[in-house]
Amino acid sequence: MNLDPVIQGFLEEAEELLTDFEAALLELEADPANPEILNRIFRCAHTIKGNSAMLGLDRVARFTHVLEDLLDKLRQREIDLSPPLVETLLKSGDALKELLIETKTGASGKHEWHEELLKAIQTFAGSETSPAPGMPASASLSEGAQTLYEIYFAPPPELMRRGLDPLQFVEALARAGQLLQVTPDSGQLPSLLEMEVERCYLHWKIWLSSSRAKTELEACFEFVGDPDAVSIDALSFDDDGETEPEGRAAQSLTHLNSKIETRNAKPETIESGSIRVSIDKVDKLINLVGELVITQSIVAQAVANYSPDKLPVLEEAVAQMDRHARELHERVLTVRMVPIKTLFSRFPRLVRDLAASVGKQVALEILGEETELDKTVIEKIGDPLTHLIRNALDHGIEAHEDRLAAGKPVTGRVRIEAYQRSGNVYIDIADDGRGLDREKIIAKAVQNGLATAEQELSDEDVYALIFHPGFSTAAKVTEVSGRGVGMDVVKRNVETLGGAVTIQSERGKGTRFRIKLPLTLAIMDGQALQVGEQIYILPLVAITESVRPKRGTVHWLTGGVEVIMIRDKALPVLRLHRLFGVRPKSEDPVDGLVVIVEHEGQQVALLVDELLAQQQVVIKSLETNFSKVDGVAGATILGDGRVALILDVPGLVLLAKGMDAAREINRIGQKAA
Amino acid sequence: MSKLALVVDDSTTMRRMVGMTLREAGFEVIEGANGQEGLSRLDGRTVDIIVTDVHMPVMDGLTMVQAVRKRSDHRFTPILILTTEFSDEMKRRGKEAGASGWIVKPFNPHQLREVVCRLLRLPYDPPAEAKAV
Repeated sequence: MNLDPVIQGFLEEAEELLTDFEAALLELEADPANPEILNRIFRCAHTIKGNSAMLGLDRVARFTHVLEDLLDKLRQREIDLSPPLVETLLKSGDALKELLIETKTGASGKHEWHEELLKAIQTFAGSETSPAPGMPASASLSEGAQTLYEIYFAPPPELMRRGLDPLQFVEALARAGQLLQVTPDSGQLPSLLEMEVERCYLHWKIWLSSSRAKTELEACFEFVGDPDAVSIDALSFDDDGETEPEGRAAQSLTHLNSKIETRNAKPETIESGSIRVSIDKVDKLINLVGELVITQSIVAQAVANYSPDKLPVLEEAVAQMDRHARELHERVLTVRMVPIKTLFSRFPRLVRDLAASVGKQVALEILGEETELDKTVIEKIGDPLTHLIRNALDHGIEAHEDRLAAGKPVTGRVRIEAYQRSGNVYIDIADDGRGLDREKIIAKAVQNGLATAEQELSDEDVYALIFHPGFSTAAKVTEVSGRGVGMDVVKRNVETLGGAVTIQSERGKGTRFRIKLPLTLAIMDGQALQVGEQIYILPLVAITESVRPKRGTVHWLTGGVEVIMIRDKALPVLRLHRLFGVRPKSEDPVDGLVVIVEHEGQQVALLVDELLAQQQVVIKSLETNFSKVDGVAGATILGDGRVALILDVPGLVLLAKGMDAAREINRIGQKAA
Repeated sequence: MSKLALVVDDSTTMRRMVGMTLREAGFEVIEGANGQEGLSRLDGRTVDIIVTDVHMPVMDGLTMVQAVRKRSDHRFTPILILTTEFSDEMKRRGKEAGASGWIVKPFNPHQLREVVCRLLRLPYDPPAEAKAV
């Protein structure tokens, strides 16, 4: 019997509730009369109060109790909403977050401002409320007489052979109480080859809140016919049936407290080890695994008593397995995908507070928050995004008088938008502020030795300079964005995730940062290419087309650049065999193929010998095992065991452009030093 | 589409009672008077659930259950055995034969319906009077 998971679950839920609490408060500011929003806010506090009281988290319970009281009055229209009240409520959310973090880490700091806040809340509520903050805990326990059960159900593997669907037992439990959580445990799942489709390998962990006795719940599992298959633990208290309800409640509370104390004794982080996946996704996975197993048994059978006439069966089955494996792979990836909303929901508050601190009026617009992204990516992109938003507010949006002078509305606009396009997720952070100042950037770069005054730099190159470590043009250092630290970190963080940042800016109109991120980090669709004896992989998304060059379409230009004419457009040609020092089948482009790849709107034609199959490849990092190679993003292992290099399209485009801007800058920088 | 149930019992009264209970719950019911008959009723059709007595002439219930489990189309069909004998030994033998569950005679119709619905994962709302029983 372990309470940790309950508290963990509570913390995760409470965190979500607080996020909504805050979001709803901000909405309420714009729409003060909306009863729906008020109800939402109330429900958040109410749920946290109830749960924390049940778990014996007194400080949280006490705080939310007072808060709930105020919210109830607000909801009943006994008091009116005012800006200071909203401020107080927002602060209450912050205080609760602190308390939750302390529950998490086991620390127990003393916060005088919490007490002040509580007093403020009570003043708003008309003060003579809620005499006994300690009371709600015991009250909520005794009134329900519900017991929280943790049930572990490990069905015997042959259960399904007796015509028993394991889910019926869960359903029976659902009728005996309220299912709080059902977690499948796939730890017993063998490898595909060893799996027998008729055996049940899944176990379940179930939290049930029920007024029934343990024996009644055990009866739900009667047909399993194996007492060892089910363990039922009462989490709230041991049901001795003797003591009075109040006594039991008190007893259980002490019990819980001691539990929590032991938990607190060993501080541990509970940081996002878990992920919420919709049942729908899980069901589809289970279905697919089932199909895969069936096909696998067909293959096994065909192989076991093989004769040449079985070949068609085998081929069909292999093709099917291939389809299933592909689909399974796609679906498994979606398990890690969570809506970016979880991240975006922080921003309204951030923008509100920042705008206030720099004395600007800013309206935030958020779009595409349903866009899904790998959970790891979402966790890591939070800081860079926050930084870009700070920048937009601090440097992008002008002060009131400047905006008026420029004929713009006083309220600045910041727009955050996420969307998915061709295998990537894009996040745009755009402001309608003053735009980047090209001249200022160049001046600063020259001053820092990052560029020379004579250099002809495109806008792109100039903007790239601000990502250089230690670069800052902000004449005035503000509390908000600090000095110069950040943009290089932003770029580095995004690149670690396999993404890229680009900037578009127009003087006086605004700036847009565009972050491009891969959907996932581990696997990609690749196109295999043959060059001589070697095989290379190109990310499929980067390929726009491939053509067999006609004689007379490939030309040498002065300066040693080779180009190919495609539909009246000259594209630089990169001969992969030269780049990698491989002997090709033929030096004549007409004997080979050119594959046209695109990155950030720039196209390059890669000359290869042959296109091979398209396949999904698992990306292995070259840098962790070897070292960085220009034009190579990583390596993968092919079906026949050979290693193939994965080409880095952005890198190739840069190589083709003949100038790797970053390296050029480095070179100049080193010279200057 | 209504579900099809096979009821096997040598007692006509019992068959009728079980049959009636299931028909009331919306099932279509076919019947057999012993294990052998029960098996032959499965020829050429698939049923959704089988409810069978244990002690029967010609072929007993458990033998029938074993035979049913060998048929590819009924390997996973829920089979409920009706028994007067509620012992661990009986449960063990039932399980080994491949039965899904058991009900001890005498039982009331609601109990039967509730168990059948549970095995088939169908929704079941017990009528008010049943809750009192």
